[in-house]
Amino acid sequence: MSPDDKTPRLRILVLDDEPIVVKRLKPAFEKAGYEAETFTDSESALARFMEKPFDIVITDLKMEGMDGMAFLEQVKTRSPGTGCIVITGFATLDTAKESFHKGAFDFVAKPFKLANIMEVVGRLESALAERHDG
Amino acid sequence: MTASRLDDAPSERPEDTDRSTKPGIEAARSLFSKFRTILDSNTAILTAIAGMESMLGGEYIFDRAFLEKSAREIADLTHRTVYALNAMTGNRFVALYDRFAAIGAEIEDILAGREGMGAETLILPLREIRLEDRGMTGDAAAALAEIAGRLELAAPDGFAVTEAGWREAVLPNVGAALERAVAEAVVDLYVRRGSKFLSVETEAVLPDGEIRRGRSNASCEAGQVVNALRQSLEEAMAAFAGPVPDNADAVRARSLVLEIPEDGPRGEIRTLARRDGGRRSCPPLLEIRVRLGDAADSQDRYFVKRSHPYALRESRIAPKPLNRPLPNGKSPVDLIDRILLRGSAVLLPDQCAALAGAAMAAERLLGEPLLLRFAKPHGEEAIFYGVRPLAADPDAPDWTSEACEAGEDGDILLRGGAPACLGAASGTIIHVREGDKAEDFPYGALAVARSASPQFAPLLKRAAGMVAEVGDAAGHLAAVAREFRVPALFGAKDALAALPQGLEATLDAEARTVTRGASAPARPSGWELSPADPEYLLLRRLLQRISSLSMIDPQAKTFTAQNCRSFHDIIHFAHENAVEYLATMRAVGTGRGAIGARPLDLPTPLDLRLLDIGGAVLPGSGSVSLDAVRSRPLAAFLRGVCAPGMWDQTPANLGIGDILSGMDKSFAALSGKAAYAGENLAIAAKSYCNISLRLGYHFSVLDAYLSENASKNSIYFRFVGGVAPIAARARRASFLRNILARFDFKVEVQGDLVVARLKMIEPGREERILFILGQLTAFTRQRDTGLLSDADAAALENAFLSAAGLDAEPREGGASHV
Repeated sequence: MSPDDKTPRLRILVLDDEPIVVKRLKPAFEKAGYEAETFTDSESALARFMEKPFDIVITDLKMEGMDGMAFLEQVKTRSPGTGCIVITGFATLDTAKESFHKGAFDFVAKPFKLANIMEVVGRLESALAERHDG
Repeated sequence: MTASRLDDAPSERPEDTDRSTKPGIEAARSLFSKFRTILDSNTAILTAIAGMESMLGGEYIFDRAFLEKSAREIADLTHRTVYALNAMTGNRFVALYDRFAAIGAEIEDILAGREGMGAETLILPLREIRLEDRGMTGDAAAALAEIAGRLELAAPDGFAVTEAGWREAVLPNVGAALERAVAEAVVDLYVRRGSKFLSVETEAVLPDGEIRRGRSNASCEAGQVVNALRQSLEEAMAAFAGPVPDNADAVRARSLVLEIPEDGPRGEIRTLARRDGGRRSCPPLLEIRVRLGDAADSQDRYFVKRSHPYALRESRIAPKPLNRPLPNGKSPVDLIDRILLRGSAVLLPDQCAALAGAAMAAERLLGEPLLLRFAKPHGEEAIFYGVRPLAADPDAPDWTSEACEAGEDGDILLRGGAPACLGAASGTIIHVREGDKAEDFPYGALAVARSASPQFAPLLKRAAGMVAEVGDAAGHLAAVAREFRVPALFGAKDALAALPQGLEATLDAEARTVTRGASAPARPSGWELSPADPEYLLLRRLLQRISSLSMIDPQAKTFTAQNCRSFHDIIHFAHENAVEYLATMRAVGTGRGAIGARPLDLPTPLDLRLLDIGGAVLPGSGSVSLDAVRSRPLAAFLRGVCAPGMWDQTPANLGIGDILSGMDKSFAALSGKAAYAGENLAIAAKSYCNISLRLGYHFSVLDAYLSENASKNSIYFRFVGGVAPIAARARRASFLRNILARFDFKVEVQGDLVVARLKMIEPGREERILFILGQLTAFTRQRDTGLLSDADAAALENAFLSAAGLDAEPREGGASHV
């Protein structure tokens, strides 16, 4: 399923403290038909999320202040239906396990191909649609 | 550099039954453990470098953390290599620690955002400036140097005064050190180039990023240039709208000093045109403005398509000034058919296309629409003397408009392949073959080839995009495509049949398609990695210290520890010296007998000893027959060496030139049959061999890994030396290059040195190639003598192909290059 003009565009929040990551992901998601908002600090991202939840959250793990794991927890508490994808340059089995335990849909190690993250988002979108239909 | 693994070498060699040799065996185990560390680190470093280089292609989203992690991992592996080499050789290369520490410190400076040692340079010649130096030299110098250095577009000679150069200036004094440096640079220009007049452009930057520029001209004389520098800075400072900070240190300045091109038409190119009224043209066009004199109202304007063949869509020809000759030398008041020539166009359509092609190559390289200034001295190619982002121009089109982005939709002609560099490009399809001259390839066309051969590397300076039927994103040509930011799709089956010559088409590497018609968007999608991104520049600065290879010839006097400028230089140096050490161990006292080297009993007069480091031969003692060799790559090579008809026993055909050029060598060595000098040593395991051969004055090294896993397989082959005059040795090198290129090797030739690399080879194919390398090694022995002309070299090539049974076979392709 891909976004089109007839259905409301899915909203994606991207959080990564490295500007280059959000700078490149935002236009890529927008080109693919999503509505994307990006943040480089977790506090601003959380404030925006609390204001209005997003359908999909993509977050880095290792960040100054609130880390990605804590952010994930807050997101799930506020909006259990939001699908979360963790991206990290410090992928270990333990962090992957913990992410899944906290409700992440998938775990993507950096660096990643743009096509890979698009494919994961596509799968998550399908899963969200099924959940909604069911 | 070789990329090999000794995965199959056991950590312990089989027990030797001779107790008296035990200490020697232990020493050998220790020695080979170090050698293995060097080889394994080498492989790991090259893999990590390939990982970093692949980030330039735009397909990956990466961050600083990845760059830091990769750079430090490579530093750690390089340190291990330096340690292992010194441990092997009794600390012969302690100086290598110093170079490692210096390069490591530079890398840490880059990662920490510090300026580093090079930042103290006051003056940088234009030819030495790289894009990543823009912080020191300013954008104008870095961008011009980039298109001149990488694309080889004609540009004036000159130099930049760096930020460090201006740092000590307290106007009206520019600083004594800078004055001295400027004087040297100006004298150099005068002596080397005969330069007469120079232009000086200085940019001053306030802490908030506001930039102002000032310009001045000077004759090529030190005092005049210093004055022009001062005046241009004063002009830039005066142009600031608000107050300039009292603290002079807060203002940064950089200057570009260039030769002024000879008289002739001057002009500028906007790679994305804005039509009158502020609209962007639809479809997007490129605009060329050119004038004969200084009057702006006498300039011609040409609007051409942005893709090859750069069709002229519109031209507005202005009346020419009466006091200047036209480009063809005629006067504007001359008549043809009663019409004054002053209404003639300055540029012909093919000249517009040539300018557009060069400008679009510059846009591809720098990643955004540009404004390029050029001069066109009468009868000569255009000289580019200024380049800057069009976005900085007040006439720039509105980027936010999406009106023109859709383009034409075309049929899909081809689908598939692996993107080697992302991006989209339109142009005319041109089929290319190995051996085609790059300079014959039109700027901006789409190249389509059978294989992604490294021979096409020069062509990528011109092509807008490339498609190859064979090849992948890990190959050498893929790395070159990323370097020049040329969209490329490799491994696209049946591309030649699907993409007919002459058709206009669009390659979209991300979508892995080629479609009919020119529909590449003028505007990047925004998610690409842009040369303006700090991470792009950081990556390039790191790669410069990590992966660039400045020392190629191990026989050169400059091949020293002190001259290593990158980690790649260090591991190359370490590998060469480790092999050299193993090959000459008798001379340093370890004693080959003591560590178990066994002579090979071959049906050719080749004195070769074998060190088995794990499963290379059947157990036993004494000499080893060919049948007892179990090392797969070594056996394949030796079968080639021993193949009938390859080992020429005829005395070398020596002429007087050969004798004179070999005066410093013994006459016996020059004239003897099958002369051997030095040590011939093979170090081998079941899937690996490293063979050092000295045959007469030829020295060759073969380093090969051959397993069932094609992705790990590699061949490194080096051949150098000879006694004949350099021209004959160069012909022999050319002969070798031609043979090796048939098998898709990446071949580098410098004088008589030939270095060839190939990796990711199917095992059956590698076995065959090693057999042929064996044949080639035997056949080429002393073959530089007798090569009196190019015709002799061609005859030798034919003779080898015939003797090896290769003359009827098509050229091969399909592997990648180290």
